[in-house]
Amino acid sequence: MKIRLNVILMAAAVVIMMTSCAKFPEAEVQTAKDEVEKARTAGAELYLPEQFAALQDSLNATVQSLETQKSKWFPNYDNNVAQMTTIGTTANELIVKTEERKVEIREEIQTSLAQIQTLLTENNELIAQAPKGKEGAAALVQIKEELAVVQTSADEAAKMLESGELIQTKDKVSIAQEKATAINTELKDVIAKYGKGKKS
Amino acid sequence: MLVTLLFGSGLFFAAIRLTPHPPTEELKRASSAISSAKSVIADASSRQLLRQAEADYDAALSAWKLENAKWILLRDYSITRSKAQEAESKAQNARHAGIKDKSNIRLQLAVAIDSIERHIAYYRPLWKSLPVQGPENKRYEKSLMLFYEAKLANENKDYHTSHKKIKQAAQTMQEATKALENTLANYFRQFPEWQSVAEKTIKESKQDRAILIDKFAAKCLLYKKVS
Repeated sequence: MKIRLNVILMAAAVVIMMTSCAKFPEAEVQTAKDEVEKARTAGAELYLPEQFAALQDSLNATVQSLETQKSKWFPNYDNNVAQMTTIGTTANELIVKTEERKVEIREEIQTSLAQIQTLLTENNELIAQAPKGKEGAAALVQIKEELAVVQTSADEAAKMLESGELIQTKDKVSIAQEKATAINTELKDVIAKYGKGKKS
Repeated sequence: MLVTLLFGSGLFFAAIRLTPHPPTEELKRASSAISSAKSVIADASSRQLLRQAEADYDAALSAWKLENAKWILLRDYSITRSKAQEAESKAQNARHAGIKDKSNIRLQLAVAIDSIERHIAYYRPLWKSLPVQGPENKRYEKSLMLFYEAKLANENKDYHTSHKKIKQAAQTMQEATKALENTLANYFRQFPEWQSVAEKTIKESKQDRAILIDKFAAKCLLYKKVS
């Protein structure tokens, strides 16, 4: 009788010992997931794609690790909780970096747009000085139309900037600036040659 | 006491032995395959395969969580394993399809860019020298801007944007070129008549004077009787 009671008590003790477990860190997991989602919403996936992908992979690995721990008789979530905290911190840092990157791109675009307007004004003045000889007049008409297209492109880019499409706007503005600069160089070369020709 | 201890130990080791092995490796492989596929996905069809892989991965994770909520010796990870293996397989297929799509789209872009550059080399000098209307000139210049934006996107490996802009550039350029060809066709259709009028004017200028404007040659000719 006594032996049977001892066996039953021992069995019960083993079962209780083996099924007692640390508390699953549900709140920490949800917090980390929420922070990563906030980073995605802030645009981290678009403006800092590699860093965001690394963060996402880190979160996935930690979630797997948590379930692996839960699969054990004696789970220990301490490392996972620490990882979740790190993920949350990294996500917040990424949000800050994303905003900084957006500000940086926005400033680059605004600077380029201002430079384009300066070039367009200068180019129009150069057109007035350029020779209007045999083929010159037709070429100048062509150049004026090219400048009109650059202006349209810059106006479209300004609208895109307002709507927040920063990356596409940056490329558009880059091309418009290159074009305006190329025209500026062409006009200056022509005027310089015309000036030399006149002197001789 | 010794019997009890031995029995307890026996129970303990039996429990350990009977504990189902968690599907950690399968989930890791599926997750890794999905990450790898994401880096090469370019086209809609491969993106669809990737979404299916992600759905299977999420299903595997949910199944794992459900099993982990049960008492440890009653857990069955076979569905989790099965879903994780499906996710891995679909992600690998998505990656292969993505590599093929990217290669196709890059080839298409290279061909399109080359074709438009040759078009520009041929037609650009004509645009500069012909008396073409302002709106058509502007349309042609706009198509050039779109083309350069497409080239920049291609250099930045943004193949979808490049593809979209190349199509817009090609269409706009085609419309402008068609207008140019119509202008030339009209000019040469009416050329004999203008030639005849010009000859008549020159003949009559022997009596007085005449001004002839050749828009094509961008020339203004003054004929004056020399007494």
